[in-house]
Amino acid sequence: LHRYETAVLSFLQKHGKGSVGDIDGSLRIGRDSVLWAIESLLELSAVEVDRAAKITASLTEEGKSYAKLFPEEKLLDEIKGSEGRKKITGKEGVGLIWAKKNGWVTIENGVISLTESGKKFGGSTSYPQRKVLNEIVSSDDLSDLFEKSRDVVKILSTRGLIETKEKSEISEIKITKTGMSIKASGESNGSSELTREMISSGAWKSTKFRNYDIGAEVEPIYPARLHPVREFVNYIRDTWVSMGFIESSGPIVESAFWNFDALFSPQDHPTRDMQDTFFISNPKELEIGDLKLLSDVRSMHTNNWGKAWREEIAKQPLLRTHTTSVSARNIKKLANAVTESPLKLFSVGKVFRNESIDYKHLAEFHQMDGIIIGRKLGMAHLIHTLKEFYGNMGLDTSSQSMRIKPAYFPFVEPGLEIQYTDKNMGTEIELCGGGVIRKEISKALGTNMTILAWGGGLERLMFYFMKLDSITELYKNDVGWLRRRDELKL
Amino acid sequence: MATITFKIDDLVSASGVKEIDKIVDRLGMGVEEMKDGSITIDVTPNRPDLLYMQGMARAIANFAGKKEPVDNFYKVAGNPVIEIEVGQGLGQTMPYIGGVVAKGLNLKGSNLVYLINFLEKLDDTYGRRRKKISTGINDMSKIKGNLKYYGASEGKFRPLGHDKEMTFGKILELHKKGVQYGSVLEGAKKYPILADSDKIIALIPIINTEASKITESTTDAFIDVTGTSQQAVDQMLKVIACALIDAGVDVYPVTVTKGKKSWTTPTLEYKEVTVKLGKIDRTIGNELTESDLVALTNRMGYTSSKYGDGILVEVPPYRIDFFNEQDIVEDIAIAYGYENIQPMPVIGTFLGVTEDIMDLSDRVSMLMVGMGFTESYNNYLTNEKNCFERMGREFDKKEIVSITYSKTETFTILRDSVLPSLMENIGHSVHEKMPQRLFEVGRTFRIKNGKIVESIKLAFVIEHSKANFSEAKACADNVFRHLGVKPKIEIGKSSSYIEGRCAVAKIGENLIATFGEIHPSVLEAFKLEEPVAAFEIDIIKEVPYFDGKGLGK
Repeated sequence: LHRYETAVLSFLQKHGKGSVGDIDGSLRIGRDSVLWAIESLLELSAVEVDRAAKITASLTEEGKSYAKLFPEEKLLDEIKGSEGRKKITGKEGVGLIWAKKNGWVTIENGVISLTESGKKFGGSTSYPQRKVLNEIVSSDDLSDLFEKSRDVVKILSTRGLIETKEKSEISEIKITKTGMSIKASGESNGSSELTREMISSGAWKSTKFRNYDIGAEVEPIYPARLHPVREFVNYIRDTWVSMGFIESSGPIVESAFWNFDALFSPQDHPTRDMQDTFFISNPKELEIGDLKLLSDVRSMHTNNWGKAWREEIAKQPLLRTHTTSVSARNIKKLANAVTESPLKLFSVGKVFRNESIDYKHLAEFHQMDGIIIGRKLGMAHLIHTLKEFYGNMGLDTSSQSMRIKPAYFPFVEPGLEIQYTDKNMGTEIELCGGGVIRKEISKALGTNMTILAWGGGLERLMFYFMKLDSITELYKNDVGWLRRRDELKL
Repeated sequence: MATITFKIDDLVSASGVKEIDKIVDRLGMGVEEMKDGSITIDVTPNRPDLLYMQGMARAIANFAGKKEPVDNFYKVAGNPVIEIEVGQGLGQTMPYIGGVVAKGLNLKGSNLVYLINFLEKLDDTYGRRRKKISTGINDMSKIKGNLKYYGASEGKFRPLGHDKEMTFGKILELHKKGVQYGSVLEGAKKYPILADSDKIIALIPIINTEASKITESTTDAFIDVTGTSQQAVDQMLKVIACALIDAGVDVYPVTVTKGKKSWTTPTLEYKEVTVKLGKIDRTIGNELTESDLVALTNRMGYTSSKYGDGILVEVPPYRIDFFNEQDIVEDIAIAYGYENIQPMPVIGTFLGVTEDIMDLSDRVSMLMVGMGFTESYNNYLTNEKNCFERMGREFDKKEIVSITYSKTETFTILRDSVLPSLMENIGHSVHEKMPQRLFEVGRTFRIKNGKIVESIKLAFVIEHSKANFSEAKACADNVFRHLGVKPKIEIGKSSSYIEGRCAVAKIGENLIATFGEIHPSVLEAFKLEEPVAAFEIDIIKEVPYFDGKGLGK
């Protein structure tokens, strides 16, 4: 027996009979637990019960809105406020019908006027319908009330203000002979628990443990978890590292120089507008430091885009719009250190666009970027690398799902993008863009190596892996969502 | 990206190719929409020549092999037919001009719309909404004598779409195009004016005159291009002249004179470039012959011939996106088909390595999860109200990284602390079961001595009815041990915490962490109803950037 059953049984063995209230009053385990124990004792034929019909009622939405004032009362107040007469506006509705039924008003030639009984009504007189309605709210068993005010209850019910239910309820529980013969331990926790004493004394050897109700609801325990973005970023990092790539990062607040100029983006390019990029007002500028580099990048621009290149525009601080800025820094720093083996680098991090935020646009999101620096490299190597990466990520790299298309980015030539169509999803998502870094750029960054480069957003992929409704869900950090979200299907 | 719409029938009859959309896609342009007999195409910004129907048809026909490019095809038909004199007063707004004359145009059907849309798209894209380049077109038969381009203080003419004369000022104020593009003239002392011998024909870069408007029956047209640089003007004129030649029109040059100098526009020279076979092999993963390359370049509109161990390519003047042989390599790959490229593995010895700062963040995160904290991941962008005011913190604007302009009102600064983000998170989750334990490891930003310092901080919050200093301290001890530091714990003073229930951790004189019980006024500001204990520490005071670690391994 469960300890609740034992407790109820021993109460009844002592008192012979009782109501649910009596038993709970003594045991204090809650009505539901008492009822549960009684039901299972019934199955053992340990108890018998008497049932009585119990009427309950609840207010409908309309009923709730009448609790303070019925529309007919409201109308009556209005008429009293306008010296006992009021023209029909057509908006009186149900209030007028009931005011007339109650004999409070008469209608003649489109004018409502108060009757004597209408004049008397109000003040200390309480409206019977409202009185009963409010009693319904406050009482548990309505049998008496329904007996006493049968007519009013009927009216409220036909007006759709209340919903009544009748159900049979246990009124008294009596112990049976069988019940008297079942041994109920006085202590409610008895052998339901394995205690420290039972273990040390060896008492457990002679103890029989009660069965648990294994289907019963239990109090939830929430796990502490990592954020899905960290999990996903780490999945990406692990995949690149497993392919022999070295991780690197760079500043979030970047100069326009590294974000745009070093990557051949002309200074009048529309993405360099305040409407698309977050510029920083404090501090005013970021130093470039390397004067030779500054002059080489200047020449790259003036030779190819025209003379109007200004250093102060290159020095503007901004929130990086892509992680390709990290790649640009790495090319400058490391390209000439490459010897026999090509150098493979990747970076994952936050990037920023001055976007209006909606279910599929964020102002702050993640990108990954990669470069391979070496000799005799070309698109064939880039495509191999990217297919291997996405294949390792678990995507289908067959040509039905993964399409490699020509694409234009100012810093690569040739350029490509990879489009992916999931069999189950139908819609095509862009995985990444990439290509061979322009010679103009590698030259300005001080190297004659060939550089393969690519970059792609992570959120689109997370959207895919997590089956989210809205991308903003990821960064709301709603505690309930963080606790109960689905696992990433990686 | 610019989108442009053509009638499919027009493209089909001009190119001789039926499956237009497939070729457009293989050329690397996106097909935006196909309906009601029209196709809308996304044209990448490097190919303004494809914004014209005949240009697009030429590219499609070449690609499909329906039409072979012809040597030296793009050239002027004769001597200059009109002169533009550049006068005084132009200032810096649009000081450069050039032009081209087209004779024998057929503007019937959709042709007029194609030509006007083409010029407008050039203004919008390459021309940066007329801030850099502006184009104009006039009926040549309605132009009297030669042209003059100069700056004028005020004047009036009848602009397109109006039946009365308007002053320049009124045009900027009232005319649709004046309102749209007037800002280009902001700060200019005078209005740039193009006039013939008896009337003003354009207020540059706003609007032309009704008097020389082109119509369906126009056969000869004068097109002007004005801009902020000679190079940009020349590039645009090349694209326009070639487009007209593609349309089967005779193109005549224009003489421009400035003082004693004089030159003609457009300049339609071809560029020559060699491409070696080896380069192609690693691009497409297969060995090709010189003849293959000639055929592939032909399909992309180039004429070419065998040359050494590769080919010599003639780049037509409309390819203003051409910089070096890489551009030809791309076109060869496009003609070959990216889907046919044979992937090749990168050969070498590699050892993948993760970066220390990322590893450290990971390890700290695992510790926090082990202590029962769930990870949060917030934006770096925030505002003064959340980051400081609600936290009861004072701040010096000079030390905070602030944003110039954001479309989202709540983004004004970069956070300098992680804790406010977590307070906001639990403030939005008051209905969730207690206790709530959240942490975040993330970047913060501050200005020190005029330089931006990016740090990595760890913060945690504990919210429940009995959350207190001791719980925060017990967790803090674990963090210190994990990081291998043994700081001195002293009484701290912070307006975010209850006085006397706040501690700071110091190593020498350096403050590394603050923790304690959050002040009730702060709880109130975040609409929190239960006590909160919190902690924040610098994991990395100044993030160092990648220095080539792992390269030697």
